[in-house]
Amino acid sequence: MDFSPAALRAHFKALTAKREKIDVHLDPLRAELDALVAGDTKLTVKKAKEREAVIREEIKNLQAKLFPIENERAAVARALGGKTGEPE
Amino acid sequence: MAAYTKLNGFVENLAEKVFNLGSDTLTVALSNTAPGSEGTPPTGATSTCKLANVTQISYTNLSSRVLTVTSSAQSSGTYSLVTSDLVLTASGAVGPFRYVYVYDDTATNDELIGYYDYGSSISLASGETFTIDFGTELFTLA
Repeated sequence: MDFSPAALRAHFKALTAKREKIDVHLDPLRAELDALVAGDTKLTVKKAKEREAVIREEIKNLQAKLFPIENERAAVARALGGKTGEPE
Repeated sequence: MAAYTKLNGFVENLAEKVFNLGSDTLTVALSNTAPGSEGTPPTGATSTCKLANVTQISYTNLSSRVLTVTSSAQSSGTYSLVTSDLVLTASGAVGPFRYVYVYDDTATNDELIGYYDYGSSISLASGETFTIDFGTELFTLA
């Protein structure tokens, strides 16, 4: 295993890309949940509650996939002393 | 790891169905103003315990502030909310900030949950990260 700063930075970047792929699915669900909770929907109350339950399960499932990625990102960030990227 | 301070209003909000912590969007807010020094301190009555009463820094140049909830469950009557650590990455200057609030972005008024005091102001430069360690759990309820 290569634990050089350059390799760790590359690994951090790869993990961030993995997170972003999950966020692509998660962000719209969170936006829809916000709208439902705010009552900003054309659905009936019953249908809105049914949809909310489905969304919440999907969010939980996606968060379960994110968890190991986020923990590893944190570990790599610590290993790099917080210097995960080259200054622009 | 900075100490967690529960905001008193959170307890009432929790009892009055403001949150669904297992799947709501829990987010951090950064501030350089002490909670007790805010114009309307969020440490007071329950109605004050919301994001609008926090003086936030600019989040330009900062990565996502959304937490990942891992577990929202009870065991033997003790509830724990577990989240992964959050890595905030700066793509330019960020801060200074000292206080890290956790709030519920899904709740109608972005109600606050609690905050961490890091003891002194922190600033980030481009390419730097700040990792928030939430420990074994964000909080427990018994």
